[in-house]
Amino acid sequence: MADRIEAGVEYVWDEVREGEDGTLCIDEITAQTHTRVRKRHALAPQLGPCKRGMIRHVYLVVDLSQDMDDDDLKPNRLTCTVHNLIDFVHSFFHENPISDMGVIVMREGVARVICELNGNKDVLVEHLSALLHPKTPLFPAGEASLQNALAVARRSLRSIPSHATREVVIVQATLASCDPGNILDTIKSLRSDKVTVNVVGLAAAVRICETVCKETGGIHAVALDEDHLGELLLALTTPPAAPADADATQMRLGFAAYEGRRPTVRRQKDGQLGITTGGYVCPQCRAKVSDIPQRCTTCGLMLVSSPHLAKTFHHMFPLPVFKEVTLAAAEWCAGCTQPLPTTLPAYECPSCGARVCLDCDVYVHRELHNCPGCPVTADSWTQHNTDQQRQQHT
Amino acid sequence: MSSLFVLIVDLHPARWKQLSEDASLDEAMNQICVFLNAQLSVHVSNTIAVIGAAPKKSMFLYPSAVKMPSPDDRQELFSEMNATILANATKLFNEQSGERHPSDLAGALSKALCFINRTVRGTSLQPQHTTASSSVTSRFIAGDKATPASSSSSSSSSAPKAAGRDRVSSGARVTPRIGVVSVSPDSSVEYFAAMNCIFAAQKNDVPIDVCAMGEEAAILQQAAHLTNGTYVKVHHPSQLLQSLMMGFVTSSDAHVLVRPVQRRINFDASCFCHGRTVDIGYVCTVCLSVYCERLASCRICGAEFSDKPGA
Repeated sequence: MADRIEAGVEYVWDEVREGEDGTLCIDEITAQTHTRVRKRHALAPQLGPCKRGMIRHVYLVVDLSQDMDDDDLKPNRLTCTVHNLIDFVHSFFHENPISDMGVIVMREGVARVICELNGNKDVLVEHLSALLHPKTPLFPAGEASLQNALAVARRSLRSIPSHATREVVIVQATLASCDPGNILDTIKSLRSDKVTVNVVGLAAAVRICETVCKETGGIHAVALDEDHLGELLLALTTPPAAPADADATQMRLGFAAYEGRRPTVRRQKDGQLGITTGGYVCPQCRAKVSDIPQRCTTCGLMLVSSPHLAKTFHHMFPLPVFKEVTLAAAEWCAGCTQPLPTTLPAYECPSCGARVCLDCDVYVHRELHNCPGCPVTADSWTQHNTDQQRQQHT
Repeated sequence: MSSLFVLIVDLHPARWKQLSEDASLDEAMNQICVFLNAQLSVHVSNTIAVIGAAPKKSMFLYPSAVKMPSPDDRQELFSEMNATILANATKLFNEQSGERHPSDLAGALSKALCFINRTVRGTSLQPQHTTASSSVTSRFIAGDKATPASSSSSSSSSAPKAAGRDRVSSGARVTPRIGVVSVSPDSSVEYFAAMNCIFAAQKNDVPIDVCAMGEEAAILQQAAHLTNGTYVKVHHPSQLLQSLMMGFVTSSDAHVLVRPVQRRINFDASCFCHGRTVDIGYVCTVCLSVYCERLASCRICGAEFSDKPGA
């Protein structure tokens, strides 16, 4: 926020100009823009193959103190936060398909669980969007209590099996905390229960948040603007590296097959009975569920599909960072076929030498996790794993 | 509502020969061209791209990297497009005719997604749940940050287009789709890469429609299911045009006809220890590898399993 106040009044329309083809664009792309975008998307650091906590249990803590009504984030802090959190929930379940999430709100000095830990993103999104409803009883009011929120989250997370991660993500707008006791004791108990606390501040860095995050091994960051808030939250969707002493067990999972035609009575997510023609069949009890991953409503077996497990493989075998190269002659991007001019840097895949533009560079590293130029058969880093893949998935 | 349709054609020489004695690639490509012309005729601002997936190599057949004059007449444009696609397809087909490797389907899907990302980003590829107001304000406030909207529009103004028809007016809403005409069975080699593509498509709301000829393609079957696309099995190449027209000519939300339903899709995994297909397995909580029995330690990541059984 500070940089916006210092910058004074912004005239965003000054930067907009009409391009040659009549479309509006913001500014010309230069080599500096490239560096900035790459830095922003953190295409440099690389964790490499490592053990990660793939099964996560996360409590989202939303600050609903009166500071949430400030309008330094547009249109106001609450609206901006909720929209970003909804995006966060979608990305989280995309990256961590067999994880659970819950929501806690801090309001009027107390912390309340408004959504228990569950793996259904629709339920979470529903609860989060309800916070923006004009007649919601949970309008921002009073002060936030960090200690209460942490205690509530801890009480629920400590019963989670030890092979799963226990995490808390706090979005904090207020600079004060209204606590009933000594928060340092709470931090100690969080540590002993292996709960990781991450705090995303909306106003400024707060000492106690810094301490909580440092003590529990989490990340503390402050959002500069609306985009940055989204980026900070998205960074938390990547599964954290698992500690070396992490417990491992074998989870019993059922691979449910999809049946498209057989009409069956099924129990829906809200507990009501309904008739459907498409659903997943539990391999243990043949009950039909509407969507996976979730527990079979009849026998309690965790139902997943092999693609759900495959979703997490790119974390373990990440795509190498592309080298920045200057082109001697103009050519075409190997991904999207747009021309690569010699005036701008291009990005080269270290394994196949394909050159791509900045858009594709960001896209393949952020979302696709595949090089568009590498033929799979000659691809060394995938080859390494495909033999295992072949055995695992048919 | 206009659509951007990217068609991936599997050009595996050996499979095409195996498929049918009397079916030639030319005949099938002609049918595909008829379908693409129909696709363009449905809406005046519909755009298409065609990618060929040959063994170990995939490339754009249309729009081709070589700059083409863009004729004003639509009829002329169609004939020129057909000629380009046929010429490029035949060239790629003959180039790779000696190869026995599986087709580079994952590479083709990656290219298609990159193309869609570049062409559509900033107009409609934002996830549906993002509100218009927040995305608009953030785009304008972040003036110096080359958001996808600004980068795509200024790159289109600064450099000439590679092809005439891939321009999408940035105000209109464009729905991207991918179509796959497949003749090969699954290749396990590219399972990993193909799955990455499928998840990216799923995340970007890009449906993958599949038309499988010859053998069933389990990966593509899952692709269609996961991305909310249509999977059609074609038994003979002569039925290709009919299936394409019935299944794919309109976007999935505008289907007047009932879409073909997949009867059963197996999501079974096979275990690491014996290679058996299992429907109930034991999964390592650290690396998510699948076993058919309880073990003392994971054979892939080496993690020691504690005694008490998991969830």
